[in-house]
Amino acid sequence: MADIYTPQWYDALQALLNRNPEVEKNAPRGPLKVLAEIRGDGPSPYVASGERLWFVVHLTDGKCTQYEQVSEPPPRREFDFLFEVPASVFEGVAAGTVDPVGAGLKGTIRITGDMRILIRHADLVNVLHRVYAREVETGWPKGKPPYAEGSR
Amino acid sequence: MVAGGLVRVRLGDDTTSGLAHIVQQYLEQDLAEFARKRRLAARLRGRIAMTASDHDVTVTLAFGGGEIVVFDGERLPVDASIAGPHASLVRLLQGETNPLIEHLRGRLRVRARFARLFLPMRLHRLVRLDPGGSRGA
Repeated sequence: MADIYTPQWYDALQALLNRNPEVEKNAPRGPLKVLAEIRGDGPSPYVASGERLWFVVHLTDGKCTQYEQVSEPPPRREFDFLFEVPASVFEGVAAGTVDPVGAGLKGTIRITGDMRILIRHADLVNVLHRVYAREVETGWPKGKPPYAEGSR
Repeated sequence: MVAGGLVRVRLGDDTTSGLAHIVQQYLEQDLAEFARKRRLAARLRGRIAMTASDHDVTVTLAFGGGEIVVFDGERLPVDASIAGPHASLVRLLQGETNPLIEHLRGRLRVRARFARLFLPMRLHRLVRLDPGGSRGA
């Protein structure tokens, strides 16, 4: 079991994505580049308030070719999608306690990009949620969501 | 405003929901690509509310010639409304079905004032994905 936000955790996610035929089936053809910006929002014990971390996900024809954290934010124009996510929400998605669709519709997760791709491949969101919430075994060395109110 | 020319799509004041941002970006991108949709958007008048009932999120689209404004919530007075689970709304946008069929099947609740009876169907013609659109078949 790999701890959240470790290279081993990203590798495990990449391997799971590539083993899941539903990902390949529901992903758009060609390259898809996604940048996720995780913002420390207070409750997360992993990303301090005000801190940011970024990870990039590249899919090509439904296969994940890159899934890694980067130390500096790459230029946003290089990406098809940008997801801006409070850390406690992202960790809630990873723990299966937060519905990413609801968070996206309410604006807790901010999505920027070609919405026609997002709508055409909406089922991919559900597949990715299942991978995050149920398939990857995530270690939570500093505690697992949901976090107590007022923590940190 | 010349039909087929620019149709501005913007968020209303204090509009912050993700659904509003998604709809605003989607319309802006789709109208930029298709002159046919720009002409259609320029002809639409009235307000229509869309609700993802399983997530309790509503937006109102206000059509006024050269501009579409997306508001959070139901911005009264509305001329029509479409409400249902977000998955059913996505199927509408994907063009797999239409508001009338979904209403008759009980998967969506579609309402319209008599004077704007066809607004939901016209909206659907505007927002459904075009097969030739981005990353389309």
